[in-house]
Amino acid sequence: MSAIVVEGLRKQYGDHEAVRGIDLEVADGQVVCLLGPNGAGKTTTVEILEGYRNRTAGTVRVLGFDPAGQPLALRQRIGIVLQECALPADLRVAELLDAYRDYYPHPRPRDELLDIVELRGESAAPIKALSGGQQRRLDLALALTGDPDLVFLDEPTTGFDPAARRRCWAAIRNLAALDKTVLLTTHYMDEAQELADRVAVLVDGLIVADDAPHRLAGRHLAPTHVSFHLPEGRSGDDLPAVPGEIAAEGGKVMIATREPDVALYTLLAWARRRHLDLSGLAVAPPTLEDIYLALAGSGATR
Amino acid sequence: MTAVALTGRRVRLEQKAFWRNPEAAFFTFILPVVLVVVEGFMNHGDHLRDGTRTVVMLVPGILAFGLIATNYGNLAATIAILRDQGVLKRIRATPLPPWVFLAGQIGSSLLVSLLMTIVVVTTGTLLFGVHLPPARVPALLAVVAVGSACFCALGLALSGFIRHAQSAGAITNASYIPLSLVSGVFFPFQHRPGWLLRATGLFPVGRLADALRAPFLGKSVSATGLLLMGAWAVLGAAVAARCFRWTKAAA
Repeated sequence: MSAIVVEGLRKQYGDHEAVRGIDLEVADGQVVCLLGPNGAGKTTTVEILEGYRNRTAGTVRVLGFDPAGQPLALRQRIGIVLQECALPADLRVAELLDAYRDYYPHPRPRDELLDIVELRGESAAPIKALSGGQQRRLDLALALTGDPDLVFLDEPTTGFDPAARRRCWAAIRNLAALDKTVLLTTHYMDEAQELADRVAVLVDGLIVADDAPHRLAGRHLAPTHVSFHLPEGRSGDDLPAVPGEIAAEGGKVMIATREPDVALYTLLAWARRRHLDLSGLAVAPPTLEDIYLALAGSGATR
Repeated sequence: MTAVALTGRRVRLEQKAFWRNPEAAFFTFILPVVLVVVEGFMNHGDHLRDGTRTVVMLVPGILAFGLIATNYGNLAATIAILRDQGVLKRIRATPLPPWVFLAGQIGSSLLVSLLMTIVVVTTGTLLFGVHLPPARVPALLAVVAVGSACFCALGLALSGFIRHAQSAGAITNASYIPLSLVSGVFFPFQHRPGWLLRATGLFPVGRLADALRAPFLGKSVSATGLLLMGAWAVLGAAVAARCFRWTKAAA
């Protein structure tokens, strides 16, 4: 069964249509990322799935329930990390976790929760003494308290330094290892690439691509970059014709190509015939960021 | 866990948060005690024209002010702050029944009210010889309960109209401190014009102070006053049921 099924979802705010017809299916146990720039409709979509907002049109099923009105049976089976949420500063970590454990019919043991988010040592600490990253991980532990089948994470690492992000990612990976279904929103490409089984790119209220991060449709839109140092005594004009765009600057050549195999073969054959050394040769496949920018660009020019 | 047991746990958790927050604890709990001590010494030995000692009016008056600050001001501001921080939104997504959460907030307020009553009355008795006949204790506690419930309902209602947590303190203070002053909560006016008396008589602020004073003055508590507070409680609960919000107003 699919944890989430969305068909033709629309959300209108006054004259503005924030979500313009989304279809999305999330299978049990999958980690799916909604990737998109600010204002693309990520949070609106997620808050409709969480039951905080009503939809204008479309059908939505979350664990088999219509989330509108936040039915109790659904609340017992989902965990939520909100984009913005302060934790009660004056309580201690263990106190807050135990309070949340009281709310659920089958809570996970407190120490297990602390292990998942790597906060075992902070159990007795007052929440106000935790760093931002630690508070976010505690937030994640709270979302896991009821041993949910489905977890929503809305921009879990926004505003974090790299070390704090890495630790938060580790906690999210621990969560995926428990076979939880996860719907994650982010505007960080690397986060999607790092964590998701599938990435749905949301631009301007529409999903413009939806696939595994390494196979994301739209990959053809973004070029592979081939670079090397120009051999001594040669100029950019001497290079053979290769598919793509060539830029030579300060002795370094950068080729952006959508046919990297043809380009490389041509280049290497050319160099070998002339006994040249292509020092510093590097081939960089398109990053999710390139693809994302290409997709966001094509979406914006509708 | 039963809903009742869960409410008990919520009360305990709110109590921890309340006493660990010096600002909340000071302004709602310590301030009335300080007022009783300071005002009590300043008016020690003074009498009203009818011969009643001023402190006998002052102590229950300040208790009324403290009960309003706790159940109305502090409750409304706490809810507004928790809503702004997203705490209410997060709680709403858990299986905790919404009414249990609210019952926990109210229960915690009532507990603080009971403690405040004990401390304020004991201070008045020990320092200034304000005498509460033991037979009048149940009447006083009944008034404390009705008044606190009334102002909790009004506090929950008010919280729905506070758009930003930053303005919570200003809005709650502006809505009861001036009324407390003109209602003679601190110092009963001996020459209040009839129209002002009638006007303030419509509001629960002065009514609570009057009802708290009765047991100390050997008078019976005014049934009209209790009914009026009950009516405000119903009004507050009805408005709260319509206007209470778990999430921030859209920007």
